[in-house]
Amino acid sequence: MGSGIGMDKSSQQIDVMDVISDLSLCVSENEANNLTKKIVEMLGGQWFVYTTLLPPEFNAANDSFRFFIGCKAELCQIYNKRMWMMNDPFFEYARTNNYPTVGSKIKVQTAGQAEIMKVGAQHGFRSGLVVPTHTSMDANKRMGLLYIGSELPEEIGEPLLLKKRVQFGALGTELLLWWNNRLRQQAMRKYSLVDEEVELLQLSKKGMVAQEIAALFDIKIAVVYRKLNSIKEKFNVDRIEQAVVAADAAGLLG
Amino acid sequence: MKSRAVKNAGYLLALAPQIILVLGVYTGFAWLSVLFFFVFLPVVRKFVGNDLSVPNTAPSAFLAGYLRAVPRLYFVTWAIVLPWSIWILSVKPMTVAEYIGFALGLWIVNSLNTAIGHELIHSRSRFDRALGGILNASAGYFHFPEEHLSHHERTGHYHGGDAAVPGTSIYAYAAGRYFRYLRVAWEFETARLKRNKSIWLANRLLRRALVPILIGAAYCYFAGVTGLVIYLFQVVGASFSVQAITYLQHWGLSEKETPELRDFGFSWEDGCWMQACVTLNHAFHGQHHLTLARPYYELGTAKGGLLLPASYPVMFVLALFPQFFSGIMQARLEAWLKDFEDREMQEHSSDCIGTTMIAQALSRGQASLSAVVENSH
Repeated sequence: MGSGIGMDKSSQQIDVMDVISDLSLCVSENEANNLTKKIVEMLGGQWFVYTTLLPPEFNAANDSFRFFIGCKAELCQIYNKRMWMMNDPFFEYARTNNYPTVGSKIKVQTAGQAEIMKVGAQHGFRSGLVVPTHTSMDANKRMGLLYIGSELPEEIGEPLLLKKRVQFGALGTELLLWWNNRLRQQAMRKYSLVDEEVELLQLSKKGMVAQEIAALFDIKIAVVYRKLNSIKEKFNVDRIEQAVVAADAAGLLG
Repeated sequence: MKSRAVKNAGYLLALAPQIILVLGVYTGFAWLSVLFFFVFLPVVRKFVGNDLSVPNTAPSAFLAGYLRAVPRLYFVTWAIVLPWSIWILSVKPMTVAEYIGFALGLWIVNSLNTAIGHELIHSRSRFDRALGGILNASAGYFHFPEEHLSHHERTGHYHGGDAAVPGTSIYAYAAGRYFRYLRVAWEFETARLKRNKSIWLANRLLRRALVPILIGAAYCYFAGVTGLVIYLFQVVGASFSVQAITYLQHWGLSEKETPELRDFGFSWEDGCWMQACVTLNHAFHGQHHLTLARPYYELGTAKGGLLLPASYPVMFVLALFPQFFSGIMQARLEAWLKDFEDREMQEHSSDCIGTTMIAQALSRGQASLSAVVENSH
């Protein structure tokens, strides 16, 4: 399924930014994951992990977690077995920053975090670049963390990765957009909503009532009521305000 | 069947229903089309097998020209066969059985018209899209382009979508969907007119509705009441076919009920080679939903996709018996979901994705981590 996206020509011939923009054409997670790996390699990285989530909960049971993985399986196993996700210094950095930085600049505050860095280096992340991306600086909005690794020694690898921070930043942004769009589509399908209904919910969130909406779209008020009732039925609620809350929680009105 | 060259030539089989209809009349066997599609085709599948050819993702200019010409050629032959069908009804005396066989053969062609018309309305070429609209309208389905926009917008929806909720019979689904989408298409078009400040004469639905009216009038004028009845049967039959095929393609699949199908376009597919040729890969439906702009010759069998138990003609007949059909489909769907879950857990058993799946299952109230892991294997 479209496995040829961005991969038909050799990496020397093509502009990496064009390949990054091809991410939007990927229709499945596998396809996007594979293309991300290709882009990371084109930019001189060897390994990567991409995580996106709704903060502030940093634990695996957080339903909002989504991943792309391009690192050694052993590293994943160790990371998960020791539940490092809850103590990961990169998440801490990403939550409050939006500028790419090298792994060696990340402040390690606990022995556990030092262990994470050490094991990471043993499994391909000797040099690293941390690329945080945010939907907005609103603490409750979806964020992304792209972590790039290279087996080159820190003093050689990190300047090389940092040199490509603009491209990696573009990749991180595109990945966040990809996931945002995918999750939005999923939420719309889950509640059986079409664009027009999302727009109605957005207007309701702003406090507009049926009469005002009817005037805005130049339609009969009865039609607005019919549409609002249909939305309530889809959310299985009695009042449109409840549907607005549910839609907002699903990230549809952001 | 693996050969791409043979498959490319095989696309000309799309013309087969029209040719067989004509042959049936001239050989004195008006039921030839019905026999071919509902008996011969399912049997031949046993020998020809599934389509394993690689799709034409980057055809040469010449090949692309040929492949794009196939649906246009279909339109041209239909432009000949349609008046021929009126003429033959007006000059050739037939028995009742022959009339019925002929009407059913023509219904098969009209049903295929909607499939080829579907391919054309997705084309980048405005000319092709116009041909597609006319082709669908000739089968009485004049609101197909507007309806289809809404269909894509609602795929994977549980409410008011095209995913028949298990337990819904094909009859209830077809009637409900036809009228609902007629309204949706009308609302879409009137909203467009209002937006563009156009007059009612610019209404594309009304313009296209003239096509079946004119064809019906021609049938009536030249072939009498019998001709008109046969054409009205085509209109009702083709409309039912569109609903039935949509029913088969999306039965029970929605984000709410089966989110696992999201990377498969919430579609049931079928790999029959002959059917793929005749319908221009219409049964590779999930991929079409994932990338709308991809022409028919770029579609192929989706690896690991959800497959119908049999090809469209067989499933169409089965769907006429709702309880039996539901039982078969439900069992098939459950088996696929189980298999999908096993594959996912195996693939992600050692990475963050697998850990998150397990943790989320636990947070949903699973008994223990070991139970989740055990179940997953």
